[in-house]
Amino acid sequence: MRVEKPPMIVVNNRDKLDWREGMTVQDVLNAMRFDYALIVVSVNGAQVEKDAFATHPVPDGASVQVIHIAHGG
Amino acid sequence: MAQINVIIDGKTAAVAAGSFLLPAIRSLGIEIPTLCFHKDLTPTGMCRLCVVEVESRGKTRLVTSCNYPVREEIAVRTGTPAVAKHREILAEMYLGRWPNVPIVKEVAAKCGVNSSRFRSAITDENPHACILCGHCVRACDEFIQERILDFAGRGIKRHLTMPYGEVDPRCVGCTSCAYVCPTGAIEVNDDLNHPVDPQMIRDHGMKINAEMATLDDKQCCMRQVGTANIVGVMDRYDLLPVHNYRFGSHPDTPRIDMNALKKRLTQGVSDGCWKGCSMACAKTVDNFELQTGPYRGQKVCVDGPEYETAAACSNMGCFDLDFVFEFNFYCDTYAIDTISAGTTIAFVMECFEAGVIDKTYSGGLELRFGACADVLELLHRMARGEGFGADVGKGVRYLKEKWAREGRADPAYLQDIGMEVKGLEYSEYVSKESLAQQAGYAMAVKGPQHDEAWLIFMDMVNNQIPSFTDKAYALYYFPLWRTWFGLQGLCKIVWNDVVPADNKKHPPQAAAKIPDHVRNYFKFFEGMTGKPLDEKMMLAQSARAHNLQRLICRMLGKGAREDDMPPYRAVGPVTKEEYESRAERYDKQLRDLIGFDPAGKTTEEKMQALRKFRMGQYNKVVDAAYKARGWDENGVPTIERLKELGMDLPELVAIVKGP
Ligand code: SF4
Ligand code: SF4
Ligand code: FES
Repeated sequence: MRVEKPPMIVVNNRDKLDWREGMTVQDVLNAMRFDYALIVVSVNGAQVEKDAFATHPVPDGASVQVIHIAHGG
Repeated sequence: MAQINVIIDGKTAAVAAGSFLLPAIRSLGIEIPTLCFHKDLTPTGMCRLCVVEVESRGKTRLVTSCNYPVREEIAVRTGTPAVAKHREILAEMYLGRWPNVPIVKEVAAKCGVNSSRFRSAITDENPHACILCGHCVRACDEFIQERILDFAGRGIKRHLTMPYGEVDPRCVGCTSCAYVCPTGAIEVNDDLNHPVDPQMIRDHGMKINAEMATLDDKQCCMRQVGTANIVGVMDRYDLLPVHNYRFGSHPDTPRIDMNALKKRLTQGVSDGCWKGCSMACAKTVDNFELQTGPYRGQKVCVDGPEYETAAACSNMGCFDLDFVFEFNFYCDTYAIDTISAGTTIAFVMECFEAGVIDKTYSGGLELRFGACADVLELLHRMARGEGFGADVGKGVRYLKEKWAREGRADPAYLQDIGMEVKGLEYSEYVSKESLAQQAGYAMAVKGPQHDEAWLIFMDMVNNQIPSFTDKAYALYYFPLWRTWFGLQGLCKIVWNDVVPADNKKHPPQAAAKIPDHVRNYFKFFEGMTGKPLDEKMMLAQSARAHNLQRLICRMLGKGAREDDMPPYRAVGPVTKEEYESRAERYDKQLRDLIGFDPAGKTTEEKMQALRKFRMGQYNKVVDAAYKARGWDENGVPTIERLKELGMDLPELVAIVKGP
């Protein structure tokens, strides 16, 4: 029997998120509720500029890294 | 931001709407001569050398590209005869007036001008003459938020001056103006406390000063609201302490967050904390009328609030800015630490609501969460050393022990919810979901302040230090780094509260250290002492201090493993209500991390399983961190480590060996 894997992406090597057609970096940030100012995002290892968050596509199965540069503390 | 296509000399460039034209032209490698443009300052269009031809809607005109905002599709021509002619005339005029100033000669040469017909009575032969570019005026205003320098006079009489032509006493001597001056017209003639290389210090200091002035609005907004900018951030990430650290967020947080605070802060000026710091993160509320206490009815200036003070108030459930200001003012006035006071009172409130103490015991105070008026009354009694107030003033550890002795509650429960380690109250972050932060707090030699290690984002959100070894390294590096610059008397803000625009060129693990800013600190050290420094040397210097602190801790009877154990509230949910408020998260962890099926289990059973797991993890992290630090399994520095650090003095060895 073939098992269809549900479309999924992984954020920060840990958190799984349902993938959907047309998903952008901004959608991922919204779903994770990441709205921090000092954020660096890469999709499958390639960095995405802030200006492109709303348009940069996130493919099915992508590994998305969202690094919050720690300020505060 | 919307992108607009601009055609520059036939090539297309995509430009963010509203941004200025000059950087776009230069990004294509086209050279444009400029005298009054500076990358860190708002362009003014004064020298007019940067003119280009802009064609839009069929009309062509000459504009100064440095301050021309791109709002629609345009065609730009940078080298037409009209442009060249315009620049040539200007360059000749400037050269006639300032024939020996290197930057003028250089820029004129770029315009094809090497001599001038315009020599006259106003020609200034000084190679360091002021060329009226205005950089200094803008730096004083935009970096330091002062307006000490300005131009006076018109036409050829125009000159730079301080008010009334005298040295303004408000000038803090920060040297920002000298740093941006392209001609050396402003000389810095104090050398403070005789550093070996003042220029080295100034160069690196000014770099960060410019970063703070230009990047902060897009990053942390600390120029506007200071450290309290993160109140809302912490709430959104479930990290803001609420009701004695039971929860990490609250619907009323917007009443005390950055946006609420912005409306109440009255001073957006240089704060004198450090001369000429362009961040000026200390904020104040002027003319605040006090409602209680010995100064009731008086209008005062409140210095703050900082993040920790605002979060101490959310911890007490007091989401009211007037309360925050009054609490802040009286803590400062009474010399009471806002963090220890807030954390202690939050503990008292939880005990009050749980029936450990009552109104008779508290001297009539109804100390429920959110009871602003009663908290202020308690604060006044603490300061007067009166009754119940005197007890509360002694802090969480004292109260825990006293109430256990009096049989008011199960000592284990009081231990679980009393947020102190080594007798010091916790600072204001919820550490439950970050193992590294739990250890960062409880292992800190000075007690659970976050100054040694603030690893929450790195660990919990970014998952950058997943293994015990990674966490142990972070618990080795960051406390040493932060101890080091603290010992030098250097501020932390210029390390990571502004981040260089190109910090992302570093891989994430390294980026977290902000390498370019660490280098600035090393240069400050070198400029001061004449001794170059690198990471290894810095860590060795700091480890000596850190290990000495640990030994002193041990001398005081607080340097063993048991003294590094957190109250369980810092690690996980203590009460049913707490577990259930985040049940989805905890249930998932039970399933995914422990393989414990939460279905059909009581909350108590689930809490027990979670607690066992989390405390096990905590102890593993402590083991790994002790090892990384060169301490034994009881948290005592080994004699080998002391030898390595050149600290194996008999007195210190005796402390290691113990009585
Ligand atoms: S030294 Fe600083 S405060 Fe004084 S005039 Fe220059 S920029 Fe302004
Ligand atoms: S003093 Fe220097 S920075 Fe200020 S206007 Fe003159 S040349 Fe420009
Ligand atoms: S550089 Fe644009 S007007 Fe001076």
